[in-house]
Amino acid sequence: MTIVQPEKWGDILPELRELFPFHWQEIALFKDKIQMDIDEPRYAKLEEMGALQVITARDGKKLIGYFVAFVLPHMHYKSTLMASTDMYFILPEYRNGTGAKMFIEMERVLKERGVKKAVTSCKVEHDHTALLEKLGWQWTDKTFCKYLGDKESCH
Amino acid sequence: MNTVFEELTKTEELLKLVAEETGKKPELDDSLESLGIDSLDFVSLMQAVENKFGMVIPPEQYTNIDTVRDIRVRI
Repeated sequence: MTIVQPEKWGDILPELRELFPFHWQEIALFKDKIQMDIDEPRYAKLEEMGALQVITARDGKKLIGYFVAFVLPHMHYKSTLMASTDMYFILPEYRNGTGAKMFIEMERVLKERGVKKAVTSCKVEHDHTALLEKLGWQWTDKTFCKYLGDKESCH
Repeated sequence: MNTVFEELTKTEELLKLVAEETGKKPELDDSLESLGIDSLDFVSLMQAVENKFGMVIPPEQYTNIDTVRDIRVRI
């Protein structure tokens, strides 16, 4: 049985470290140019500030997925608490409804924290539009990316 | 108060609906995972159940739904 729940970054970091490479390998852009290098102290600092929200999925004790969001007052509307997705991932063999449950649990926890607006996204090649729209999310923006480190273009 | 007949009918209707949504022949204690659904299928199934039975399963309860029976007890 899969358990989806809020947890603390600091409590589960060793387990997260085991999943990050799989996540990076699956979805990161420019893998040949930009290596994974998680800024763990900064995440810890954000958690200390109350600006981080982590939802995990576990199969028994085994960590099988995570959803990390930043929770901060909006820069344009400083009295409004806003959440923005940092990352979410589930081990491929557990993609059987767990993603939807993580989004729903994240939404529940964010509402509890007083968040008024949340932003999320997905990669074009891992398109979750249909799921997000079913969960009540509205498609509002398109995001573009370009590698600026050398003369090669973004593919 | 629902009669035993009505309760059995609901169970049969649910199993039929899950079969239509998943393309498999489910039993009450089958996990949704074993029926091969992904997140989109899961949410679609919840919506189909709500439409079929004219009720609402609050999304906050989704995290506790792992088997067909978990849906049945909410109808």
